[in-house]
Formats: sequence, C-alpha cells, structure tokens
Amino acid sequence: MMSKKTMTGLLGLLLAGHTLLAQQGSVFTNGFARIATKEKSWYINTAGEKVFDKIESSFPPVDSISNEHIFSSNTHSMMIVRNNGKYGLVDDRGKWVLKPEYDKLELQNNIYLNLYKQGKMTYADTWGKLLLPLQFEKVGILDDHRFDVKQQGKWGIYDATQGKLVIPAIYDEFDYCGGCGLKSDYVYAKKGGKWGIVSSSGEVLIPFAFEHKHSMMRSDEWVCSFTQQGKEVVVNIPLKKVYAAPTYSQMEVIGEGVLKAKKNGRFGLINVKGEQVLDFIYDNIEDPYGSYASGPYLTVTKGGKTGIVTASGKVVVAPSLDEDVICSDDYIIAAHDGMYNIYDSTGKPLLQQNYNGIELMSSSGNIPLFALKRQALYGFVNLSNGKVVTPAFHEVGMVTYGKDKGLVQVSYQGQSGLYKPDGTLLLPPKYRGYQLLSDTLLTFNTATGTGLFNTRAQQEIIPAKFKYIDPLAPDSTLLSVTAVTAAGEDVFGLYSLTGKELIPPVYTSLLPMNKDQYLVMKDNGNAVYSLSTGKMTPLPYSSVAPAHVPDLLIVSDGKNSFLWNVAKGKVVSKPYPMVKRYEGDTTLSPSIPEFAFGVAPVQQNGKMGAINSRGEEVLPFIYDGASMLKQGVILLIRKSGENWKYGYADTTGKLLVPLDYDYNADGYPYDYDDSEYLSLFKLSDGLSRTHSLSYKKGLADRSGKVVIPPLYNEVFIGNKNSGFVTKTEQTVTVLDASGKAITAEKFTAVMLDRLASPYSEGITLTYPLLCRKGEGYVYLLADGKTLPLRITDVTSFNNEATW
Amino acid sequence: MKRSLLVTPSLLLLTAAAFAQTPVTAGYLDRFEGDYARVLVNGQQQLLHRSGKLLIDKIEAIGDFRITAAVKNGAYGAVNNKGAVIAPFKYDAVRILADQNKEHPEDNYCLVLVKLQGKFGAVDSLGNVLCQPEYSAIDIISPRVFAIKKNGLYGWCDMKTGKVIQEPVYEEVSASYVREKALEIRSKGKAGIALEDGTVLVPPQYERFIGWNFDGELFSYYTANGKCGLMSKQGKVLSPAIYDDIKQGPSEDLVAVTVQGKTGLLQAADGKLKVPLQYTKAACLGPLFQVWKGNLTGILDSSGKEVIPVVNTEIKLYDAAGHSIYGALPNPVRYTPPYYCVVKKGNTAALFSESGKQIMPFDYTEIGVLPDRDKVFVIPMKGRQCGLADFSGKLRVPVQFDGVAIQYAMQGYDDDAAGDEKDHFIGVMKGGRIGLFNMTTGQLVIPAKYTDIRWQNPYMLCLKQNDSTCLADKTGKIIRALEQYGSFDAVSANLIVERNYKMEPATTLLINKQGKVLYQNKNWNFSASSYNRLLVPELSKTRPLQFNSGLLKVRGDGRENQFVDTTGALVVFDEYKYVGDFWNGLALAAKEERQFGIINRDKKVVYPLVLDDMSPLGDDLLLAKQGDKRGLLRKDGTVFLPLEYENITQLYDTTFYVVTRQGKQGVLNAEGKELIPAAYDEIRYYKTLQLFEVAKDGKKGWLAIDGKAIIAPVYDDMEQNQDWDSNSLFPLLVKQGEWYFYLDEQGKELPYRSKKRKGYDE
Repeated sequence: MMSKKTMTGLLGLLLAGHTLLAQQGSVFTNGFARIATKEKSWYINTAGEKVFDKIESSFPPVDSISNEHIFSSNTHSMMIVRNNGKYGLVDDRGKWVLKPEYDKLELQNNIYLNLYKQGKMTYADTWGKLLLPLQFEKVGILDDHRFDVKQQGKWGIYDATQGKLVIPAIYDEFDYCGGCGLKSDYVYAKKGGKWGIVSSSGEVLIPFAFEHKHSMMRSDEWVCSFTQQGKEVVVNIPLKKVYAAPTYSQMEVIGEGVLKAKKNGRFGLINVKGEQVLDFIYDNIEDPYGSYASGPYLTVTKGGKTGIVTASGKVVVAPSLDEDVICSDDYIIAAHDGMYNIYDSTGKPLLQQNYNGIELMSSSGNIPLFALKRQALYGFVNLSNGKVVTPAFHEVGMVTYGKDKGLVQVSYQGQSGLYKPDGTLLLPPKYRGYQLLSDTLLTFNTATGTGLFNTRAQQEIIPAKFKYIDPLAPDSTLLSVTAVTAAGEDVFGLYSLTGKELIPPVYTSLLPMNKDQYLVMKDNGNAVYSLSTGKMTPLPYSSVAPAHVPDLLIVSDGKNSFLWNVAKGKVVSKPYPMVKRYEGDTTLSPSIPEFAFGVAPVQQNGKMGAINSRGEEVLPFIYDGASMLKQGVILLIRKSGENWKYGYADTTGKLLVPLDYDYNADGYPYDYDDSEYLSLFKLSDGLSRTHSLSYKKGLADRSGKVVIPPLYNEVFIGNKNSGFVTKTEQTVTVLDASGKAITAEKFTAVMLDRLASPYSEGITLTYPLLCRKGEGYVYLLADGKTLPLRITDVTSFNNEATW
Repeated sequence: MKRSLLVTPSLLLLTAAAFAQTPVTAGYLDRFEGDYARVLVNGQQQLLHRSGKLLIDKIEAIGDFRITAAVKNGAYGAVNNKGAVIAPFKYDAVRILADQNKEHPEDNYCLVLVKLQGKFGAVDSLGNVLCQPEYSAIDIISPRVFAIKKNGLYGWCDMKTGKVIQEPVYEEVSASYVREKALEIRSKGKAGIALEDGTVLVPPQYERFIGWNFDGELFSYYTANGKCGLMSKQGKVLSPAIYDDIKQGPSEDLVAVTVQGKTGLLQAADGKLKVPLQYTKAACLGPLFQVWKGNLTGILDSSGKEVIPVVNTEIKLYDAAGHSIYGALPNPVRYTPPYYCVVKKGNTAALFSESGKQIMPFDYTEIGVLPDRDKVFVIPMKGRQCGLADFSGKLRVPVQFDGVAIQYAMQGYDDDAAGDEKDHFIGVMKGGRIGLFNMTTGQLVIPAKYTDIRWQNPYMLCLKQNDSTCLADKTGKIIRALEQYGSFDAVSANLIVERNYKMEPATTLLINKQGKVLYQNKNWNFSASSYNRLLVPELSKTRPLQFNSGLLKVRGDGRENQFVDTTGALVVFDEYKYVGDFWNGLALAAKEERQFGIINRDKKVVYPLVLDDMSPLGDDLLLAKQGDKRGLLRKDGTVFLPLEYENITQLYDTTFYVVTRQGKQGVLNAEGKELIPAAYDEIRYYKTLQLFEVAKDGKKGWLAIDGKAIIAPVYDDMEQNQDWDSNSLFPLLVKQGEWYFYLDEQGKELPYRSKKRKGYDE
C-alpha cells in the first residue's frame, strides 16, 4: 500500500473555489463525469457524450425485505437524474435503467420508485423494474402484486401477475387492512356513497349499504369497521349476515375470530359459521392472552367468578375461578380463593399443591416453565416432565445470554445457583458467581477464590483457592490455574478436568509446545513438562524463549544460542554466539530472534544470514543486514564503505532481487514493506545518501521481476491490478498493470477521487482518467487516446459541492 | 410452625436490646444505602436496618413513611422506619398502600396489606392489626376509609381503627367526586351515594353522577335513558331528569341546561328556567356566563342578565392583574377582581367592564393585556401600530407606535439609571427608531428617530443615531446637538463631560447644561463605565459614572489623585498617590504602592493606609490583605474582622466565613463570632444538613451548626449513607483502628462490627 502522505503529493487535490473557467470537468465516478461551464453543467459518459443534466439523488437499491426490515445493497447504488427537465434512473455502471422521460421520479419509503408521466403514474422497484404499466391516474399498493388503480376517476384493482384489472375501475374509493398480518382476498369498496365488500375477482360479497371508518380493520370473515345509519353492526362476509343493534350490542371479534356480543344484557359467542357457540348468559367474555399473544381459550365471567371456554364454546372450567386468569398457550394459570394452580385443556389442575403465585417464566422459549411462589420463596415447574423444584429461593430466572443461556439461575441471600430447565440441579445457591465450562463442569467463586465444580457428581473438585481457573485453550481438556504468591505475583499451573494437579501453580509462565509438552518458567529455572510421562525435564539454559514454531525453543547458555527441539529433547542447530545489542552493551543477548514464515535472520560473527526451524542455514552469513518483511520475503543488505546495497530473498534462501539497489539507512521500514510489490530504490548520482528524495523508486513483483524500473520520485500503485502512476519532478506517467506506459504523453498530474472511498487506503485506476496536461486537462482512455473534450479546470462530481 | 414464626421478630428485638453492649462480629459490613446496609452475619448476606435492631434477607419494596415490605425466613413481613416489625414474617405477600402528602398532611394514610392463603388483611404503620386476612381484596378509597371485598361484594372500613363501617353488600364502591367524604356505591348495576360514615345519601338508582367541584352545592345525576337533572349535596333532587346536559354556572344560583341543542339557565333553588332555552351554548367565564348563538357570543352576569349582547365574535376575560381567565373561577379564587372583557366584533376590538360598561370603543383592531410584575398594560392596537392604556380606558400613549418598551426591555432603550422617572417615561418605537414618551404629560418628548436612548442619570439622556450622538434632558430639550462620533456623558443633574475632537489636540471638557466650559484637560481619559467600584453597592455597579460627594475623578496626566468639583475647580489629593472614585464620601486611597486604605472627602484617613490589596467579599465586605494576613472591612471603613487570618473565604451560599489561623481552619458566623475554633485541617459544610465535616490530624468527624461535635474527629475513615434522597449521612460506616462499625446521628454505635468492609464483587 502506498502511504497517504505520498498520495497527497502525487494526486491533484479536488478543490473548488476556482473562478469558473471555460469548461471544468470532474473525475469519472461510476461511469460519469460532470462538465461545468459558467452557465450550466451536465454529465458525460465514458464516451464523452452528454447523458443528463443533474443528479437529483442517489440511493442503494433493495436486496431483500424481511420482517419489515429493509436490507439495502452495500455494493450497488442508483441515481435519479434529470435531463431536459425529465427524470430518469441510471445504475452505478453508467447504464440507463429508466430513460429520462418521466415528469417526476421519487423514492418512496426507500423501497419503491414513484414514476409520473403525462398525468399517469406507476411504481418501480428500486432496481428500476416497473411493477405495473404506466396507464393509471393514481396507483396504491395493496400487496406484492395487486394495486388499487384509478382510471377515469374511478377505482379498480390491477393484478400484475395477470397483467389486467381484476376488479373493474367502477368504484369511488377502496380501503383494506394494510396492517393485518393476513392479507384479505377482498377489498372494502365504496359505490354510490355507501360501502360494501368486493372480492378480488370483482364479485360483490357485501352490498353497498354501510358507512365505514378506517378503524378496527380486519382481513378475515368479519367486518367491524362498518356502521349502518349510525348504528353498530358487524358483518359476516361468507354468510352475508349483518349483526346489528338493538338485538346485539358491544360487539367485538375476539380470540381466534369469534364474535362476542351482548344480547338481552348478557354476553355470548357466535362463530364464523353464524352458530351461537356460547349462550348469552355471561357478564363478560374476554381474551386472556392480551394484545400480543393468542391462544385457544377465552375467559367468561358470571356472578363474580371466572371460567374458561374454547372458541368453539366448550366449557373447560365453569365460572368458579378468581378474576385474574392468565393463559399461556394451552396452559391456564388461575386461582381459587387466591391460591393458584395451572390447569390443562381439560380443566384438570396440573400441580399437586396450590401456590400463592404462579407465572410463566420469561424467555423460556418452547419449554413450559413456570415460576412457583410459596410465601416469599420461588421455585419452578417444568410441565413437560412434571418436575417441581420446590420454592426455596429469593429469585429464579431464565438466563438469557452467555454460556449458561437457557439454564435457570436461582439465588438466595445474594448467592447464585443453577438448574437445568428439566429441574436437574447443577450448582446449589452457595456461590458468589460461577462460569460454565462444559455440560458437567463450572468454575465457582467464593470469598476465598475460584474453584471447580462437577455438576454431575455435585462436588467441588478443585477447592476455591485460585485467582482464576480457565481452559488452557478453547477446546483443551486442561485447565490453567492462576494463584497469587505472597509477593502478589501471578503464578500459573495446570490441572486436569478431573481436578488433578498436573503442574503445580508456581510458574511465572506456562506455554504449550505441542500436545504433550509444556514449557514452564520461573525465576530459578525453566523446564519442559510432559503430560504423558508426567516427567519434568529441566532445561540447562540460562535463557529460554519460544521460537513461535511448534516444538521449537530458542535457548542460550550465556555464550551461544541454539535451537532446541522439545519433542526430540535436543539441540537442532549450530551454536550461534550471543551478541551485544548495541555498542557498549554490557550484556549478551540471544542471537536468534523469533521465527516468522519459518525462518529467522540470525547474526554470526558480525554478519547476518538466516536459518530455518530445522536449524539449516538458508542464507549464508555474508550479509550486513537481514530482516524479515511483512510480505514474507527477506530484505538483505550489504555494506561496502558508504555504499549500502540491498536485495530480496525468499524464505528458502533463493535470491529474488539481486543486491543491486541502494539502501537508505535513514529511511523507514515501510518504504520496503508497504505493498505486495518489492520496492526498488536507486540513488541518483551525486545526491545525499541520507535524503529520501535522493532515491529513485521502482517496483519488482514478488518473483523479483522488475515491473517499474527505479527511475521515479514516486510510484502510485492502483488497486486491483489497475496499473500504476509514476512521477518524476516534471511529469506523471500512467502505466498499465504490466508496467507499460499507456501513452507516450506526459502529464503533470492525475486527478483521482480519493473522497469516493475515504476509508480505503488505495484507489483503483479507472478510465477515462482526468490528467493534467500543460494548462489544461484531458480525459485519458485505457488505450492511450483521450476524449475530445477541452477541460480547463477541475470541478467536483456532485452539483452541490461547494469546495 | 406458625406460632414460632410469629414470635421470632419480637425475640430478635429482645436479643438486640439485651446485648446492645456486645456487638456482633460480622464477616463484613457495607456502607448504608438508605435504610439498609449489606452485612455478612453467620456466613449469610443480610440487610441491616438503620435502627441496628433488625436483619432481613431481602427488600421487596420501600413505601411512603419508609415502610419496608421485606423478606425473612422465606416469608414476607413489614418493617417501619424505626426498625420495628409491624407485620410478622409469615405472609405470602405484603403491599404498602400509603400517601405522604406534605401539603395536606390531613390526607396522609398508611395501610400495609398482608396476604395469607389468598386472603388479604391489613395492619397500620405501628403494627396494629386493622383487619385479619379474610378478604379477597382490599383497596384504598380515601385517606379515611378502605374498601373490603368478600364473596364478590364490597364494603368499607375505617382507616384508623379498621372497624367495618359497611359490610360488603355492594357490587362496587369507589370515591365519589360529587362531594367530600362520599362514596359512589353500586347495586344491581345502578349508582348511589353514601357518606364515608355509612349513611346512604342517594340509594343506588341512577346511572351515574357528575360532580362539578368539591365546594359547590350542586351536581348532576343521570338516568338510564341518558337524561340528567340537578341534585344538591344533601342528595335532594332539585330538578327532574329532563335535560340532555347540565353545566356548572359561575354561581350556585344558576346552571346551564341543554335540551335538544338549546341552552338556557336554570334556577337551582326551585328548578325553574330563569333564562329560556335560547342559546346554542353557555359556559362559565370567570364570574360570568359566556353564551353563544351560533358563531356570535355575549356575556350574561351571574344573575342571568345579558350585560354584553350576543353580537360579538370573540370575548376574552382578564382580571385586574392582567391574567387571562378561561372557564370557571378556581377555588380558592387566585384572581384579582374586578374583571375586564376584551370583546371582538369581526376586526374591531373594545374593552368592557364585567358589568358590561364599555370602557374603550370598538376603535381598535386588537386590544392586548400584558401583566408586567406589579403593573398591567392595556395595549390597544390599530393594525401594526400600538399604544398604551390602563383599565380606566385612558390612553397613556396614543396608538401611533410600532412598539413600546414594556415587559421585555426594548433593544436600544435603557432606563436603568432613570431612577423614579421610570414610572413617567417609556421608550417608543417607530420604523425601527426609538423615541421617548412622557406618559404623565401625554407628550412625545423625544421623537422616534434614534437608534439608541440611554438614561445617564434621572435628568439627562444620551441619544444615538448610528455613529452620531447627542444629549437631551428629560423634557426632550437637546443640550448638546447631534454630532458624529460625539462623546457626551451626563455626570450630574446639570454637568456634562464632553470629549471635544474638534479641538487641537482633542480635549475632555466639563461643561454645564448651558455649554459653559468649567474645566478642561487634554489628558483626561473619561469613561462612564470604567471606575473603581469597590465601595459601590451591587445595584449601582452598572450605572454610568457620576459626580459623587461633589467630586469626579480626572483620570489622566499619569496621576491618580486629582478630581474636579462641581464648579470645575481641580481638587488634588496631594497627600496620596492614588485616590479611587468617591462613594458616600469615602474613597480608596494609597500613599505608596501596595499601601491601601480608605479616606474621606476631607482627606482624612478612615482606615489606615497599610493594606497590600483589597477585594470584594460579598456585597457588604472587603477582604483586606496585608502580607500573609487577611481581615475583613465593612464598606464604611470599619473593621469587621481584624488582620489576623491567613485566609478568609465565605462558604458558598451562606453567611459563614471559613478562617485559617496558623494553618488550621475554623468557622465564624455572619456577625464574625466564632462557631468553630480554628483547629481543623479541613472543614466542609453541608448546607441541607446544616452539618460541618471536619478533619484533624488525619481523623474525621462531624460538627453541628453550633460547632458542637456530633461525631468527634477520631475516625480513620468514614463513609456516608449513599441514599442522597433522604438527606441523611447516617448511619455512617466508620473505621477506627482495625474495626469497621456504624454510627447513627446521635453518634451511637450500632451493634455490629467487622474487620472487613464489603468488597465490590461480594
């Protein structure tokens, strides 16, 4: 990657505030560029042709809609544009989706486009696809494919799948329940000043004889929004029957679609078939599920007592219960004289004892879990297995997040315990806190520390004496334990899941080397512990460090450093004498650094080479500098007097770029590793070695092949293999991906729209490319030609931009 | 089992009392958060009540009067603010129904509901059983009675004694809003009214009642067929139920009744129509009836007489203080009679008295009424022009101006320095320019042609027209003509300081109204806004500089001790190097650098010139500094506190002074008397609690406002109660040596201690 700093120097800034010169041009964005003169501006396509005048707005098209949530495209955008006063739509590849021939084109609710033309309107989706032909005066959206449309002043219904009017345009007005979950196959229609119901095939289901208000709207067999001469009515559509005052009053469709009504002062129920399913003998009938749930039961009250009935009129419990009844799916929580039980669909109590409170446990999902209360204590019951956990806790609740999600947490006097929803005890409520490790293991906290608990055996298998107990790795069968020494220092040990101590917690560091062996370290010595043998093998070295290669340690004995293979239990490299880190250093440090890409550059006798993890020399010790770069290649430096030459080798030791290039000892590391290419620098004759501007830059690819010879002050690398821009003091050259100049023309700057993606580090070179040439600008094409446009200055892409 | 549970709380109280001397050693103690603190006792985390008498397991709720519904031994009980168990821990539920109404303590009540085996009972805040758990529901009706429900029917009980006043026989009982201490009772679906004492006032035979206000004598009752009639507070039917609607009138004598959309007035006493059904609508408007016939409106007085005919389009009512009145008068009446009506007829407006006397003619397009502190302005308007009048109808300012400077200051008009003249003069605006109107004489004394008018004293005004300035007296007479960049400042009733730029060099002059130059000095740097205000009281600090004590300081010439008197004679205070501006005959003075004191007009020393510096402390005192000593002077130069302290600060928003002597802090009161001797390292005052927190030698304590120690400063650490609402610091969690324990507001220890404070994760 090119640093931002470099880019600024190379690219012209997109500034405004210029006085308008003859003709300004913007960089190309999504296939268009804006051309502006003092009087007007317009947009051109990549062929240089004028395509439209103005961008009205841009928006992301909709990929999908789910549960009312709109998922807009992250990768595409559409633009509403205006040309000669007419509106059209273009996509982000510069293609016309809707030609500019509309009087108005606007985005509605981010999901539709409203299109107007010559007194007609229609809708399109956000990709520009028309949902119905442009032939109606007004259009409303009923559902995915049906539209209420106005034709010659009257309304009908157009079905887009059939491509025709399914209800002729002969009505004054339509209404329908947009918010109903179930879509109706009829509409409310007005004709001759009165409302009725018309089926989606155009058949009049209910004649036009009612007044209507858009409230209590339904989409099923019942109509509750009508009145007749001001009187309350409910209409049953299939039966074409009208229930009306004074016979019926206080009518309401409740539960799963039955009509509750009052007749002779009492309430009863009538079903969709018009059958009286419940006699008119009750003081009231209600839906016990509330507004946001539903279920099979209704409650009836009579003489101050409550009963339960089904929508078909079956009496589950005769009115004998207390007033407050709560139903959850098929279960009924109700009380006799203030004492609660749960009743099933036959009216049978499911609990052997009554409780002074019962409620559905929240977040219990599909499991019928109910909290039970006796005096101030809570327990719970799982009705799928009938298991009752007797009330003994100050709180019970379903855990809703974390590893123990779905378990039941109980607490008593501030201490927590845990149950499975099936009623199995996992952890008694004796602990300050806990953390689930597996189905059977959890760590717990007490005032003395952290321990390990086996839920199956119901046993503390590691007492609460550690600061932390954590799995060694996510899938490990071993536990790292942390203890604190008297001096307050953390020390580490290893335990098995059965609670057995494998490595005592006395080590300042504990690192797995492979599946069996662990490097343990403490102040007075380091060792390797084998799980399989239980043997601790001391390492006779003063300094030990992980090499970041499996099995491999870098060890030093005070004089030399070696590679130590833990599995083999032996040294696998030559000795490399330890080194001073800087002039005047009084201590010796290991000469082998950490490995990267399987290789480590190593110092020996004042020279640098490289070894691999087997201890083999991959680069001979003949270099004055060697350093692993982020790309996974090794930068090699050789010094000869004041001359520093550098090249690159791969991790096998193969020289990719010979040491022919000039190294800037005062430069920055990112000069060499900030792109996938290999940077090539050559010092200009006679210039200072320490000044970065003295170096000419080029690039080689990863195989070492020179793509751009080192002739330039700066090289800009286009993203996605889109080519290069090079710069010398005077000129800028545009090159293709192979490094070949696109044209022999020389420019002084290339304008790139960095603001198009402010968070991206790089820019893809796209053509036409706005290049500065002399006092003016040209649009350069990929074939080296230019668009026949004379541009005198740069302007912004958007019309409104002021800077 | 039940028996033992019942006696447990009392046993526990005994235990706590008997062994108060030997504290319980707890696993840990936490600071108090309100009435409770978390403590670990016998290995169990419990909550200790602030009384120190009681441990509970869990707080269910804390209600008014700080009654706690609490959990202990797995059951619910209730605890009062003294820590006494008022409902033993044996219940299935406890609910606190209480209201603590500070403004109406007579409406306070506290009912603690207890539930056992599905049945409700009640106890009071002292633990007296009001009723046993035998009811299916209990509910508050009023501060005096509560409802009981049995077998689906309701009765009620006395709140204080629990005595059943009415056995449960009604389908519903609820508070009635037709009169005080009444209940609405329902039987067979019909409503009646009973008094709280059980007397049935109206047997249940009506659909509903609508009360108008508690103090009124009347209300309406409705029958099943939707008609209504009038009833008295004693339950007497005053009119048959033949009306569609009845509305309260401004007095008890008349009410508005409606039949088929026509409204008339009914005499309450005999139920007869006093005003026939001739209006489309009638409503209370303060002490009057506003009536309508279609879109036209008028006013009837409380006897039903049409005092403003029904020919107007809009009527607004104001009281004598200028407040708008909508609807009926509140009880008690918050308004100031008499009342006035602004009446609009189409685009014209007039002012009427409440008796219908026309005060201002229909000559205006609008009449506004604006109260402004103790004054009311009546603002007649014609189109966009306004004037000023009063409720007598007299025009004080003719309707000629775009604006008058009332209520909110008019930008560009400043009468801050006008003194009593403010009552006579008002700024007026026309076409964006300001003038001055004398409301007493009815004359426009300064035409509205200035951009800025500022009174400089009660005699003269500085007028500006953009960058030109002139000076006028309050009769409008121009004293100094308009001059570009002119600089004029009135410095007394008839003296003016003028910077004359036409003179060469520019010179500052003292002149009289007649223009006679009394004194001149080219080096005089006069500015009316920059002068020494140390002796000036707060209210006068923003006023322009004036002659005071017959002198005006002449700044300039590199001298700080010269003044002119009102004759223009130079008065030099040679004895002093610096003399500040005079106020009440006194001025700040210095002989040498950093040797300040106070002198009088006769050049005599009032406070010796020995101070390094002086600065204001509050509005009345000056902080005097000499070396590292501080003292306080009054503005008359007398000593309030001698120069004996290292530091003196005033406690914010109090009249206490914190003084430091020999590195130790103490507190003096407003009179300078010592409240707390200067013996503490740090003193902080808690104003709402009226307590001082003090620290001494690393130990902390608390002192009362009289300086007496509540908690002697002997504790290493101290944590206040975290409940900021209750405004109490106590009980404090303190540490002394290795022990933590609690201290209450008397400084007494609670009977628990521990060597550990509860950690945050425990």
